[in-house]
Amino acid sequence: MGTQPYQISLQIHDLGVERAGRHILAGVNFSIAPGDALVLRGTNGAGKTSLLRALAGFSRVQEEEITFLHGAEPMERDDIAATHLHYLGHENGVSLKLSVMENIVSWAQLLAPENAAQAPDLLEKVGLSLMAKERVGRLSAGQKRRLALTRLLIAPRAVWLMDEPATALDREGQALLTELCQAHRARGGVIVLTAHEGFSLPDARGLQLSTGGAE
Amino acid sequence: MNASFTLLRQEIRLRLRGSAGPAALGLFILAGALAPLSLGTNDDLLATVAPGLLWIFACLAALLGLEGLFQDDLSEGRFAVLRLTSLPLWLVMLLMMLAYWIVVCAPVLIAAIPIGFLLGADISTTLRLSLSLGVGTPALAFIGACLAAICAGLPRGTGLVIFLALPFFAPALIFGARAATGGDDMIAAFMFLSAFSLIALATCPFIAAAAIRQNME
Repeated sequence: MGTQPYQISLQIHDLGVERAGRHILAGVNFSIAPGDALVLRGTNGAGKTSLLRALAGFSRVQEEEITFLHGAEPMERDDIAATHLHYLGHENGVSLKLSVMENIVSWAQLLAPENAAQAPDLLEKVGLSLMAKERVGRLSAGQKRRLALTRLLIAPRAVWLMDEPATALDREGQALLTELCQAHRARGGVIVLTAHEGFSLPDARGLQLSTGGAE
Repeated sequence: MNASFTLLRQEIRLRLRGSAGPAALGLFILAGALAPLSLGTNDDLLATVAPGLLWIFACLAALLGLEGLFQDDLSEGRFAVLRLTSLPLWLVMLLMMLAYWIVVCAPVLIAAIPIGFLLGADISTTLRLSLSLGVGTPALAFIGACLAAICAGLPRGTGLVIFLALPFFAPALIFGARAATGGDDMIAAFMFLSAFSLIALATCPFIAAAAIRQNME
């Protein structure tokens, strides 16, 4: 794991997201410093996922609305996506046709080849070591989510964007998630996640989204 | 460069786990083996129609392999992972299309040799056929995959892809069969076929990348 603390911070200024000509979000403002976590809350359809995907760069937004800073230096968008972002959506990003071990090794090869040897340890950490050879299509939703969490760990990256990460996880899994997130923040990592009532991170800030804007 | 090879290798492995490769090859071999049954045993007739017939079968095989291409990648969130790597999306698409050609089309152009002999074509015709498939199928694979990327967000989009692909496949079919048959305009046909594949190679990855971006919005 990286010993150097991360120094990435994030500034969102008057962010608006449109989809098919309809305003999903408008006038969102916040900033996140290294070590901070932001929990996005709001009703279904309030635009939590849209906001996360905009941060990940998957939807078109105005350049100046989202700024990533390294220390005080603004960073290039492509550079951010290539080396500093993790996105964990509700789809998990796991390949159902591959085995558990093949999934994690593929991520390692693409994202951080030097860390491929850590794969067995990480599977142990998320409680999947007995399932290493199992095809992912046969795993439960919670186990797939646990597997997806190893992607965040095998390649150290500063910003974690997580869409309802606690869903499908059992109590033990949620505790593990909290522990991983807190460890990430302790290294200076930034976390933006969406959650319903019932899951939060200790001393995380909250942002309430309502249709058409944010409070 | 390293990351490109890694993705290509992973992509080929993933495609080999799916049914597209075996299904396409199976269709090609089966259709080729069954053709004499429906066309009769007139050796001259079979040998004459073999190049054109096998080109049609190759087109069908390439279309069959498009089933579900990119759809799983989109719904499983794999593109979300790949877009957060150092590889630009057009390169990701290029490698995925290349893997598709290797898994679905390459076996077909090898199988064309025994199937050509089976239909009574002579050695030179069979080799020309296989060569023309080698030159022309990249166009089929890239255009087909490009259309699959456009339709990846649609439920049961494969039916649409097949109809959309028809007009694009027609030039490859016309000049491919001409190149395989031989004769005076063979060289011209080969050149047209290569140009067609090169144009597809140069444009399709970018169009497919734009389509995937649109599908992920």
